[in-house]
Amino acid sequence: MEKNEETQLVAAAKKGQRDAIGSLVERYEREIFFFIYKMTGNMEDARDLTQDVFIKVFRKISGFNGRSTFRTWLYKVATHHTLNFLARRPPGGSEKALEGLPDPSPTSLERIVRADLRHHIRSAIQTLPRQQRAIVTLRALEGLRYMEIADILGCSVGNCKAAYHNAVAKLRKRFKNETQKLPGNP
Amino acid sequence: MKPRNCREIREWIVEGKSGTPLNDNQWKAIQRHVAKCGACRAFQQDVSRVLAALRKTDPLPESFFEEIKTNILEAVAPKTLRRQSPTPGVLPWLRALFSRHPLWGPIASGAFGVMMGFALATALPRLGEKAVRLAGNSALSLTANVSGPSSGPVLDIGNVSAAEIEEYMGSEALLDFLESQGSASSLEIGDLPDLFLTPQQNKTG
Repeated sequence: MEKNEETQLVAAAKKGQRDAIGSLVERYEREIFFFIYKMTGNMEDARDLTQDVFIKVFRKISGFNGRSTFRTWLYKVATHHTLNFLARRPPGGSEKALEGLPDPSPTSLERIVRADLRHHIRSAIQTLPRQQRAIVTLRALEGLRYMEIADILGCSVGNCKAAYHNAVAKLRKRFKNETQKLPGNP
Repeated sequence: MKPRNCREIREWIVEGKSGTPLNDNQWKAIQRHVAKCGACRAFQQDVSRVLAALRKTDPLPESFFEEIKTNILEAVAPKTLRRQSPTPGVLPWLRALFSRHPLWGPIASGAFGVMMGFALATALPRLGEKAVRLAGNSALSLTANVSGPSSGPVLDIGNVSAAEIEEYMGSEALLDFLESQGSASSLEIGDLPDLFLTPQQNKTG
């Protein structure tokens, strides 16, 4: 989406135009949903939080001054909303729900192994501290720059970068341990 | 020297795999390094697989996201539409019409006010030295003040110009009629409707 087009959509959304709001939701709901899903590990929670985030954003859109992009602002609201949710959630609440998404490819052994790896990686993400989880998700999955992540989380670029590298090292270690347990590995 | 170099190379690997643009020298340095360092080669493979597994998103049916969108719009759009709409509570087609043409609302209100003015004027028993003020939602008002020639204007209608009087009231028929009644202290309002609606017939008839 062109920046101009998005600016026009945001301006129209500020006036309450339903079509513009719908277009912005269509544009970002998937990535926000998957971002929240990877943070929470729970599909139901991710769906509810996604709705909450968009409702919050459009109710406060008159306060959006365009200093950052709409996408960054959306991620800012989504990140803080999800971190608050995770802070309130009892530990271990996500274990069951990690199975929420259907696996579309259960036929070949290779696909099953790959899906299993994904499952382990997602489980590994849930073991990270919440702040690191947010940084990994924003950087590795959503491709946001450190500057944007620092703006979203209210920390320095250096801290974000260090936390990200630390988290990737942890995930790699967990990944190695898990893959060694998979069938076919020595 | 080697551990520091490995750390730097691993940082570049993570950054490169995470989407940070690396320059040619950095890529070449990584390639040269992993060609002879088994630990960093393994690191590179692991990081590639970890990040690929993280990025993989499972497909969901379109209806799943459609439902989310519908819920969001239901929560947000009705509220903002009410604020935007110039005529809440009226028929949807009328609301849509007014939202596309914002000037139609005031124009329609003004026209309605004028029509109501005529209708009320026909209902009044007498008119001389009386003011009929009609207003819709707009600021348009109409005041008719009829008196004898010596006591001021024959007809004074608020902000409406003479040209508009001619256009809306049937040429000079009304003024002629009022002048012909100028000596009278009052005007029979019962004569006015025919004059307004069919001035030509009134003149000829």
